[in-house]
Amino acid sequence: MSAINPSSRINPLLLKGFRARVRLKHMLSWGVITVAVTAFISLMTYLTMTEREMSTREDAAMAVLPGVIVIQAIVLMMFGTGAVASGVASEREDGLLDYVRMTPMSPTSKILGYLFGLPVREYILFALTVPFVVIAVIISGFSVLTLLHFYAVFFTSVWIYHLTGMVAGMISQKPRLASMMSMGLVAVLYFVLPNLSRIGITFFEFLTIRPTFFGLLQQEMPESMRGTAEASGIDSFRDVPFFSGLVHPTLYTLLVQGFMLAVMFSVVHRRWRDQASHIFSKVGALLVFSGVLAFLVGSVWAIVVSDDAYRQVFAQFGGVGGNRSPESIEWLLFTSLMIVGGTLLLLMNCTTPTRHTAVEGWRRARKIGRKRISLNADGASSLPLTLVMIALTLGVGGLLLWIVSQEHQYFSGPPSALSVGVLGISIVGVGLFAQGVRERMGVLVFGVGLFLLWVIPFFAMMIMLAAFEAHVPGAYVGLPCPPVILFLATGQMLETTTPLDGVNPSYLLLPELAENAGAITLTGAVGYAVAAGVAQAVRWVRWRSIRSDIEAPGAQPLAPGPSLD
Amino acid sequence: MIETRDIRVDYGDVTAVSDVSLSVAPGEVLGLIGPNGAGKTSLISVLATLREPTYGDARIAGLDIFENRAAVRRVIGYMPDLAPVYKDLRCWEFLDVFARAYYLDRRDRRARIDACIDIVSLEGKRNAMAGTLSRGMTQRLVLAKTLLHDPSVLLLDEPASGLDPMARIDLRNLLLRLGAEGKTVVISSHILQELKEFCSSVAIMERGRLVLNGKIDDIVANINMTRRYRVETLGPVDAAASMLSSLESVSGVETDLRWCDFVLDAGDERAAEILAQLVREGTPVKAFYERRKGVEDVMIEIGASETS
Repeated sequence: MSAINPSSRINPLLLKGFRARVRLKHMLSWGVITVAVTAFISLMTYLTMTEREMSTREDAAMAVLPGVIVIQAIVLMMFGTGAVASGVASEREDGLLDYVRMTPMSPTSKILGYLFGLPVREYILFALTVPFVVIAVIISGFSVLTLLHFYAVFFTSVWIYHLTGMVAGMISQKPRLASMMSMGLVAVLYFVLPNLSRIGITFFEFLTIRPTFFGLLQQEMPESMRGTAEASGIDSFRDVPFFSGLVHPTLYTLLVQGFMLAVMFSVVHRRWRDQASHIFSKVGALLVFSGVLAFLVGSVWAIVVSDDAYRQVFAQFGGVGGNRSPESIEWLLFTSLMIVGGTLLLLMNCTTPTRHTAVEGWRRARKIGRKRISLNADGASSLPLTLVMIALTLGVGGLLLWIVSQEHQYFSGPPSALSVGVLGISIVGVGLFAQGVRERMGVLVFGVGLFLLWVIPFFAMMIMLAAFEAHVPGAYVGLPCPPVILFLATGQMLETTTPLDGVNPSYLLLPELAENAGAITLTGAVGYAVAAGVAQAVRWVRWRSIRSDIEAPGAQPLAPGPSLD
Repeated sequence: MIETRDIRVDYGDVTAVSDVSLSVAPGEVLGLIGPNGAGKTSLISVLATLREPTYGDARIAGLDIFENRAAVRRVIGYMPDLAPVYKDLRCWEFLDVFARAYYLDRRDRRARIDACIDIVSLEGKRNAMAGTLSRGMTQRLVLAKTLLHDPSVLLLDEPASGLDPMARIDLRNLLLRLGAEGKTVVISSHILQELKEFCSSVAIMERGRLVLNGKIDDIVANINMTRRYRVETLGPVDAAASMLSSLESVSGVETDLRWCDFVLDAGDERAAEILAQLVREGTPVKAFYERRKGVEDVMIEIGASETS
């Protein structure tokens, strides 16, 4: 391999990956293993079906495809992602990343170099499996167009995962941890988040190749071979209900995956420009939040307002219910709120400055002659961003609530102003409390604090509910955990309207809880409002102390010197 | 060429570099000296644009290093402490990656790689895997990488660590040559001996602070403003010490079992008179000499204050 002498236009990092990871001894061992396993799966499937006359030659060849694709997915999505994550993390740990950082290559070149250079061996292993696909297609006559369509989605997914690996590598401290984090994320994407499709939140499903694999590829196969498609619960590659219309699944996939690619790319790009920068700027975080809200509302809106869309989503993704019910809508709203809240906290956490970052940002602002730091700067407080995100959450929540209340088949009228107010105060209180604690105490205290304050009361509540059936005391104990307040508040808010059946006082909550939900949630909302006030006051005091640091010696910049240009 | 003002670097509550202001002229070879943990690496990483200071400003070649990172990075070559390499690349491949990354012209690339390999005396290891090199060889390879794009400013963090005596001599000769070529070099070490032969100036750091900074000759002259003498005797020094204490222009008398130090506020002739007087009064003088402090003494004092 050392004889390679490509032109200078080749990305140096791609070339480095090629030279380092595609030496003959490596390729021989990995290549033989990959070809052997792929050949085994292919021959086993094909010969078993043909020799035992279980199907025709064409169908048997077609049956080879899913097996080979699974191998390709394991190679590129699991091993490739691991290679990117551990490669970036180990270069970062060793200090090699600093060498690259200091070269005049643009951040985009660096990203592309690592994106394709680190998993270059996996791409070649993938290429070794392609002949099996080609042979299977030739024998079976499987639609080449469908296959290309599938591979387009396959590769966008691969790049998302590899970028995720790069993000993990640039954030985590240890290579092994980065590799495990990214592979774990892929597993969560495939096995955890798609379950949300079953209650109507569909867009996570389209971050994976599952809809295309099960919906598009397997539907082209003979009926006898759709076992996995049936098991996946995915009916077909149908148009996806989004807001009040239907979006072609390919377009929807491109939208969701394009959004994710853009997010990951911007994170990595920022980190290449400056390794100490936050992974999102404030504006970037707001755009991400708005994107998540748009996808979420688009999914929820469609199934709230349309019976057909509801049935289709449930048929398409193997949902648990066939008809819309108040209970399912309550769950949908609560889950949406949890996703929005989780995203809000995550983005707030990622954009909150440390004391060091704040001082640095303010000093830079002074240096370039500004009186105040830009709201978008890393050193600026995350409070304005948090407020905007909270406002968006309230706005979108209000919109969804209005839509639900307009659909009189769920509830007889709009919820009471008090119950809506309690939910709103809870959201504002939790958001501002979390922001104040994070900005004042730092990420470690924030993390540990969340566990102590949010998770432990939740565990205690669960024990009280399960062991002693003490629903009301249990709910009070669990109140510090925001999901508990939001769950009760969502349920209580919708149930302040007259139930349609006129009998059942509660769809989501047990009768005992439903009767006391008002008092419990009001307590929680007031508690968090007070806690938010305290946290923000403490945060404000801290900012005043930072200002004294900002005025410390060294504020005057050096006189400008001659430019090299 | 390099100018910093009030650079401070904090890691959480720990201040690694505190209010460091220094200036390095073009062509100067500055030795950044200090015990482990003095803040040398943090300061060099700031100059290398890899870390933004908590406070302060820095300019290289007239450019603010945080507002013009890309331009500054073109003129600096940075070699970190424990310099890493791509272990699974051959030496020439390693250099080729960075020659391409610095957009060296295709025709010049090979010649430049050969030249850098020649400069660091790695010709015999050209095709060796970088991961098989010894520590000293690895240091040389990274130094070659640092020189690839012909930077006018070199930031070398402990480049001599791990080198054998011959390699140190090679490094010294190389740095002398680079200095003669007009390159500005900042080189750190905790061993003064490594640096004093080729540094035109030194900056001594301790606990993040710059305690001494300037031309080596100026520093030596500065710390020898007072003339300190030592008398070594064959017997007890008590009589000599009491005699010295009674003399005009003598102060700061300190004794040990077999020697006596004093500060003389006068010239060589007065020193000769004191020696004659000591001999006349029967002091068994074994040696009598002026003790000139060097930069090493300052370093030792810094070490003492660090451990005390």
